[in-house]
Amino acid sequence: MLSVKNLQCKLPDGTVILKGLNLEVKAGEIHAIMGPNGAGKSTLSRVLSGHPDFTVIEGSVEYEGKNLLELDVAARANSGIFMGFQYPTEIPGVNNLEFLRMALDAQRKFKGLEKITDDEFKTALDHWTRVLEMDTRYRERGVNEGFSGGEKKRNEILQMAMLQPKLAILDETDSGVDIDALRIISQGINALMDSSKAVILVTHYQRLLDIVKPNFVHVLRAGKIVLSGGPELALELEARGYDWIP
Amino acid sequence: MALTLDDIKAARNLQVDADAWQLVREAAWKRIEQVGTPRPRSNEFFFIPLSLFAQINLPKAAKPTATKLPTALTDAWVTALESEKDLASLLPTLLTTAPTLYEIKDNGAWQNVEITSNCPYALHLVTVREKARVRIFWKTSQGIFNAERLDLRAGADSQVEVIVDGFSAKKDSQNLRHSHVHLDAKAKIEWLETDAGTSLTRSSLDAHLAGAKADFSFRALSILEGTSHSHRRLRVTHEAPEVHSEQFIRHVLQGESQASCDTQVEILHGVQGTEAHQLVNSLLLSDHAKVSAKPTLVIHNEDVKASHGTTCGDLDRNQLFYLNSRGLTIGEARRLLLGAFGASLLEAHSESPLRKQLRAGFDQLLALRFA
Repeated sequence: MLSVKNLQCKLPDGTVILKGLNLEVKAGEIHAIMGPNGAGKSTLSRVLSGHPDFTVIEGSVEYEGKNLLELDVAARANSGIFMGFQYPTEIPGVNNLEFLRMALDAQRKFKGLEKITDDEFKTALDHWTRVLEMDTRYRERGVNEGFSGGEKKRNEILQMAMLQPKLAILDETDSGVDIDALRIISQGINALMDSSKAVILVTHYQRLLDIVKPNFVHVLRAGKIVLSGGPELALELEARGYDWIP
Repeated sequence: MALTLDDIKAARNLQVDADAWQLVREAAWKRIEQVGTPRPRSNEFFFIPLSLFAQINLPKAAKPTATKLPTALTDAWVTALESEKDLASLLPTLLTTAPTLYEIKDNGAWQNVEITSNCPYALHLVTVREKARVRIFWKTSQGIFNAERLDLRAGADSQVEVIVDGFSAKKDSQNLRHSHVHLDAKAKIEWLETDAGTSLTRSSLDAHLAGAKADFSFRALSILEGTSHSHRRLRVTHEAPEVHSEQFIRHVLQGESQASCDTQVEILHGVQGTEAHQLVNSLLLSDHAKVSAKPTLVIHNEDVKASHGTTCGDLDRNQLFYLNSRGLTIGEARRLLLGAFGASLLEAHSESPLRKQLRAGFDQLLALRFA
């Protein structure tokens, strides 16, 4: 599904963040990306979603046989890539439901489909707000406006659930959430996963991986993946930190 | 014919006067001669490029209207004119042939009044009696140069909503609009005005919160493009205890458009327990657009709750990226954010059919300008 080869990118000030990153993700797989602060984990998420602050200077990213780097941000999203933000932005005045519906319609338009009907929208929304145990007041509020950290992360998962992406890149979805919210968010991710989809989880902690079981765990350090392994690697990292990795 | 004293006099001489108003017009002309046309850095027109006034073409005549005016009214006007300093407040008085009078009495329900004029020079005098409730829709004149004035007195316990729809003004028009507002005890006025960019719109307003617990809210939304100009000058005076005033103004500027907000709240000596808030937010969507905002508080007491602020910038990049990353195009994301920016101002105003109408006009404008 996703093939990242020798990816290198820089910030506008010339600072090179990713320095030759390689990653292969197949349908049905969950990949956890771990690593020390400043390693480039969030940058990888942003580059894959097309954030304009980053310039790719070398390498390639292929997504479902297409050159991902040639697609603009909206086209990447509408092709099935979802980016879950570490710090979801508050957008006062833009209603959650209005926005969600616009996003769904944008995706459908991209695929040449009709707009979502009221019934389809309501059914999906009712289902996922129930799964994610979200307050109905959410519907009246602006996007992430006045939300707690946990509510924002749940809202990210709700958007993901409604949009049904093929590849979800979740940047520290477990940060700033309490134990109950973490359980609900993790269950939401599991409920979405099937053999046609893939997830990249950027995380610092094993606790998320206790519920969302990864197939692969990668250590990202200084802009490169320096070590890959199975789920046991996350347990080892939790116990030993990163210093032992050559 | 530009806006010079000679030209103003020439335009005035071509009018046919209603007899009773003649006295007032003479006084207005005398005062205009003293005040003169705007000069560089004059207080009243500080932020407005005066070159714009050189482009004003005064229409030569207005239709005379025959209005019977009480002598007491005209006498009071002559006295009031002596303290006027703003040309925009004097011009309509001089150039109109006679004011139009409105009196709204309490009938137990909300009443709707549409104020309109076929003539580019208009003076409207509105008296809202005690406990009356009225929604005033001020349809501004559709000439190339318009000078209008609305004087509104809100009686005790009255509730007044004023909507000035500038979205429909002619793009190449020049507009001087002045309002004088007086609130008695517990009167409440909610004022909402919009403009979509004309060659020049200058809106000035003097509000006097003269009765205890009076409440005045002023909201304005300007969506400008090209070389259009929108300038506001507000003077709000707290003259009685426990009054409340609020000013909330938002601009969206594209192209080489310019806007300004010179707003002041003055809380007089001995006037305790009042509250005043001023906020001006401007979105500059091009490198050549320009906005000047000067929200000022002049407070002569300690027992006051007051705030003022102004912000200026482009659309938030993080918000744009967030929306974009959910599949919305940059254009759709910008429209959504601009819609939220304007709608949150419009929705701060109490819900009413007029507000709904204005919201629809705003949505149309966004679709047209940001397609």
